[in-house]
Amino acid sequence: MFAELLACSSFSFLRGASHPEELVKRAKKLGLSAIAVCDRGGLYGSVKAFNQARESEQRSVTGAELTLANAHGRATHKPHRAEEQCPTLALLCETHAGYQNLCRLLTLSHADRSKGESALDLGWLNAHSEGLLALIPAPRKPMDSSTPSPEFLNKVRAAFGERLALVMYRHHDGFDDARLAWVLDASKRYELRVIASARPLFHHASRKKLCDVLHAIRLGTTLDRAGTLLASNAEAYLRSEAQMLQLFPDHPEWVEAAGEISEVLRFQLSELKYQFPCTLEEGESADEKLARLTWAGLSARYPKGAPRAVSEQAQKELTLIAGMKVAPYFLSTWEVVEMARKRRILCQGRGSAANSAVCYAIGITAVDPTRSNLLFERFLSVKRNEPPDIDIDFEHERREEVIQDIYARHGRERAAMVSEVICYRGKSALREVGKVFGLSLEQIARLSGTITHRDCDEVSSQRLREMGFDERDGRIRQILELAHELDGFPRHLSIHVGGFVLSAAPLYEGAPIEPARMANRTVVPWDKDDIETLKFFKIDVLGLGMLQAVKGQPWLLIIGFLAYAIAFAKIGCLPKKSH
Amino acid sequence: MSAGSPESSAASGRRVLALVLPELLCELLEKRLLWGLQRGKAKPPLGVVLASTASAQVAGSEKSLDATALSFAAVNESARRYGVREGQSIAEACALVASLVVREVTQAEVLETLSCIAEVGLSLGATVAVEAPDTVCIDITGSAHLQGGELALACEFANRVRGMGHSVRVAISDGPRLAKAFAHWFTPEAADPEDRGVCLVPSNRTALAFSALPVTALPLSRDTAAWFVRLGVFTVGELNALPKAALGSRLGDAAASVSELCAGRDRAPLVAYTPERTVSESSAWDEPVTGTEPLLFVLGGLVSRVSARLTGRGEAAHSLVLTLLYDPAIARFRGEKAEQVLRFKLATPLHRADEMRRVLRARLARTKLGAPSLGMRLSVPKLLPAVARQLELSQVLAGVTVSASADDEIPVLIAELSAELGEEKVGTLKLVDSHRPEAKSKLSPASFEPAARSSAKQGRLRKTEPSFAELPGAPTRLLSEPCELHGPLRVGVSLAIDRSLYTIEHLRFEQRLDAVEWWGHAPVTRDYVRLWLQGASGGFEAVAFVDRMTGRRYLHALAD
Repeated sequence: MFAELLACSSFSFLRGASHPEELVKRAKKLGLSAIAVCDRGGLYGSVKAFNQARESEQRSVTGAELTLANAHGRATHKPHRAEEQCPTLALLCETHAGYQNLCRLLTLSHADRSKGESALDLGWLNAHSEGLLALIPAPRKPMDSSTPSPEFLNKVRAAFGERLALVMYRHHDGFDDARLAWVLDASKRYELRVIASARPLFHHASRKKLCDVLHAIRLGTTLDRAGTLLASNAEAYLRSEAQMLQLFPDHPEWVEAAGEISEVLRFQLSELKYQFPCTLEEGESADEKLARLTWAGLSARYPKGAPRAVSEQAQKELTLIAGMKVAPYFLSTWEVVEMARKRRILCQGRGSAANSAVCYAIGITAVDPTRSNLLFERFLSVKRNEPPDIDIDFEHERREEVIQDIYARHGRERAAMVSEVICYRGKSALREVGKVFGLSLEQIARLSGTITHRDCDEVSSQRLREMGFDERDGRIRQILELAHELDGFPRHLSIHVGGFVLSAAPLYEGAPIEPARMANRTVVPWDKDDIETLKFFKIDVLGLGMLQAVKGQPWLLIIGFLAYAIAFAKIGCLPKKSH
Repeated sequence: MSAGSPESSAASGRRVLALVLPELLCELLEKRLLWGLQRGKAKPPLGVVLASTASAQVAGSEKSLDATALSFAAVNESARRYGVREGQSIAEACALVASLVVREVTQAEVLETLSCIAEVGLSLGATVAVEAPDTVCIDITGSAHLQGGELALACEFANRVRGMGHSVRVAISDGPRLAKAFAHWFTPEAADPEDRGVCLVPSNRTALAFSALPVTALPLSRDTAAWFVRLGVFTVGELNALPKAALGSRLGDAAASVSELCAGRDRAPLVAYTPERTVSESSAWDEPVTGTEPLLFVLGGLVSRVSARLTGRGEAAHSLVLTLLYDPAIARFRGEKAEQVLRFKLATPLHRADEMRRVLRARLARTKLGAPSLGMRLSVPKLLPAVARQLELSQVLAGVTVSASADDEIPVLIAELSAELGEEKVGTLKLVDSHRPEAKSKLSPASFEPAARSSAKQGRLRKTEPSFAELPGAPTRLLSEPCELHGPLRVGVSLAIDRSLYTIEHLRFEQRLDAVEWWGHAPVTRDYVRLWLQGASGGFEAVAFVDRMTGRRYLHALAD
C-alpha cells in the first residue's frame, strides 16, 4: 500500500499550504499506509502530525527535509532567492537512535546560523546516519542548481548504503520527462532504489490559491509579478494509491516501493523518554530530597511547628508527587528560585502552584495553601495525568540573568526555551494577502478596518461599500476569502515568553535545538502544546514589573505587605460562603 | 556702421541685441492666407489692421471692418507700390487699390509670434524681452563669445528666425532702445559688407552712429517727430545740435530720455520673457484646404518654428500633438468632429526640425481629411531636456558639425514607424515571466530614455525560474491566435490546418497549466501536448493544447 513520505506542511513556513493535521486526516481518508510530514529544515510540524495521527489511527513517520550547504557553505534553504535553491535530503526515522541522530543533524544545521537558516554538511552524515532512511528528491528541474551533484550522491550513498532511495514525482510542470531521465540515470549509476511520491504541498488541490499566496509572501512579491515562481498547476496535492498508480503507469513498482519502505520507519514520538534534571546527593533519591527540603522548609515557615493540616497536606502532596515521578521538576524549579535568591532577585511562584504546600514549604510560593484552602488538584492530579506547571515571576529587568544562569547551570545542550508559533490572525492575514494582491498600504489599512479581530469571512457588501470598495471587484472578495483561509497559518517561530525545557540527557537527543533571534537564546522548535503532547516539563520564567517596582521602592513593599495582610485578614474573617 | 572689434565693445558695458520684424503683420496674414503656396506668383496688395483680441474673434473678413475708423498698421510691398501706407484708413487705401486685401491681425497673434521668437533667443543670452509690436531684445552681455562673437551670434539668431519664415533686421548696441532704433533705421546698403546685414554698433561709437539716424528713431510721438521734420530737423544729430533749453520745453517728459539716447546712453531695463511650459505653433487660413499637400507645406513651417523654439529652450519634445482644424459647418454636415487630433509618442525626445518633420510627415500624408481644413496646430505637451549630440572631433576638424550616428537614427526611425504603422504595432519585445506561452513576450512602447534603461536593469536582477519557454525543444513560433483543431488529439487522427491535411504521427503530454493567474479575469486551464504532424508536403512538430474548461483543442505553436 502506498505511503506518502515527502509531504510538506504549513510548518515549512510559507511553503506548504496545509496544516499537518489536515495532511494526516486526508492520508487516513485516502487510505495511505503512512504519511511522513517532512518540513523543511526542522521537525516543526511533526508533533502536531503525530498527535493527529494518534487520534486518527493513521501511522505517521517522523522526518525532515534538510537543505544542503552550497559551495560557499552558506545557508541554503533561505527561500527568498530562487537562484539559491540547493539539493535537499529528506531524513526519516527508523528507530529512536535515528530520531536522536536527526535531532543532532538538525541542531548542527542550525548552529552558528541566523534564525530560520539551516545548512546540512555532508561530512556530518557518516557519524549520524544510524537509524535513518535517506530520500533524495528528484530536482525540480534537472541540471539546475537543485540537482544533486555526483559528489553529493556518492557521499550520501556512502553514509546510508541500502537505506537510501531516490524520490520521483510528477507535477505536470513540463519537467517530468527530464526528472524521470535523471532519476533513471542516477538509479542505474548509483544502484539506488526509487520510490514514488506526490511531493504534496497541500492536502487538496483547492489549496493551490493559498499556496500561491504563501509563496508570494515568502518571495516578497505580488501575484502579478511572481510569474513562473508560482506553480503552473495544482498537481502538488496528496494522492491516493490509485491516483499514484495512474500517475506512474510506467513504474507502478515505485508506488509499491514507497509503501514497502515505510514499513521499516517504525519510530514514533511517543517513544521519547524525557527525564527532568536535578542534582542529587549520593544515595538520595529525588523524592527523598524533595521530602527533606519540604519538611525543613515547613520547620522554617512554622518555627513553633507546622499545623497538622499543613503537615497532612504536605505529606499527601509528596505521596502524589512520588507516584507521578515529578519530584525532579519541583527540585529543578527550587534550584531556579535558589539561583535567583542568591543573586537577590525578587521572585515568586504564582498560579495554581500557590495551591501546593510543598511549593510553599520549599519557597517557590509564599502563600500558605492551608490558610487559603485552595484545591491542590487544580495544580496536580493523578486523573489528569499532566505534568505540573509552575510559573515563576522574576524582576523583569533581571530576568535575563536568571535565564543565562539556567543556561550556564544546565548547558546549552540540556536547556532551551520553548518556541511560540506566530500565526496569521485576522488583520495580519488580510494585510499580507492584500499586499500580494497589490493593494496599496492605504487600501490595506482601509480594508483592515472592515473587519474586527477574526471575522474577515463575514464582511458584508455594504460594509465594503462604506469603506470605499466595490464589492463586485473579484479581487476584493478573493482577498477576503484567502485572508480567512490564511488565518491560523504559521508565519514564523518566536520565543515563548518564558518557557524553559530542561533535560537530564542532552536535549538534542529528544529535540532539535535552534538559535533564536535574540542573542544567547536557544529554542526547541515546538510550542507549549507540542511540549505538552510530548510530556516534556516546562518551567515558566516570567518577568514581573511590580517586583522591580517593589524592590526599587521599599515603601511600596511596606504598603503592599499591609494591603496583603489586611486582605488576607479580611478573607479569613469572611464567612466561608463568600470564599 | 561697424567699427572696432566685438570683444572691445563687449568689454565696455551692457550689450543688447535687438531683432526687429518689419514685416511681421504681413507675414502673419500671408501665412494665414497660404500665400506661401503660390510660388512664383506676385503677391496681391495687402493691408493689415491691428485689432484687440476681442474684436479679432468676430473679424473674419474685411466686410466686418469699419473702413473709415480703422487704419493700417502695416502694408506689404505690393500695396506700397500702389501708394498705400501705414496709418491710412481702409477707405483711403481702397480708393487707391480696389483689390486691396484687408485683414485683421490681433495683438495676441503678434505677441504669440514674438514669444516664439523670444524662445529661440533664450539660448543666446541671459535675458530675453519681448517688445511689442515687432521687437525681441536679448541681453548678450558676456555671452557673445560663446557663439563666436557678437556678429556670429547675431547672424545665428537672424538665421534661425528667418528659418521660421520672417524677415528680420538685427542690431547690437549698448541698450534696448538704442539697439531697436538701429535695427529699425539702419540702412543695410550703408553697412559694412562684413557685417552680413547686421548693425553692430561698438560702444565707443554709439553716440556718433545714433546721430545719423532719423528723428523718428527717437521715442517721440508721431506728431512731434513730424513737427521736427517740418522744421527741417531730419536726423538725431541735428536735433541734438539744437539748444537744450528750447528743446527741453518742446520735448517735455521725453527730454531726459532723448538726451540720454543722443549721448549714446541707454539704461532702460529688459523685462525678462518667461516661456510657457508647453510649446504650440498654429497656422490658420481662410480658404478651406481639401488635400494633404498644402498641409504638408504648412507643417514644414510649424515644425521649423517649434524646433527653433525648442532649441532655444534647450528642450526637446517627448511627444507631439498635431491638430487639424476642419471647417466646422462641413464637418458637422459630414458627421465629423471639428478637429482631428494626431498624437505622436516619440521613442526619444526630439528637437531637430528634420527629425520631427520625418515623424510627422508620414502620418499626415496618409491621413484622410474628414472635412476641408482651415488650420493646423502643432503642440508639444511634454518637454524634456534636450540631450546634446556629441560631436566627433575628427568630423569637427573636417568642418562637419552636424552628424547623426546610427544610434541616433534608430529612435527617429522608430518614431517614424510608430507614426506610420501605429504606436501599438511598433516597440520593443520584452520577455515576461509567465506560465502562459502567449504572455511570455510583450510589445512595449520603444523608449530610449535613461529611466527606462535603469528599470530594465532592475528587471534583470530578478532571476526567474524556468518554465514553458525554457523547456527542451520549446516552440519557436507562437501563433498570434490559437488555431482550433477539429478532431481528437490521438495518434493517427487527421487534422485540417490551413487548408491542408495532417496526420498525428506522435503525441506526447507536456505540461498542465491549471489555475494559472487565477486572480485575474481569465484564468488559464490547459493541457499542452507536443505533436508530430505529417502532411503531404512534409511534417512538422507542433504544440497544441486542450482547454480543460471547454474541451476544445487548439494548435498554439510550432517547433522548427
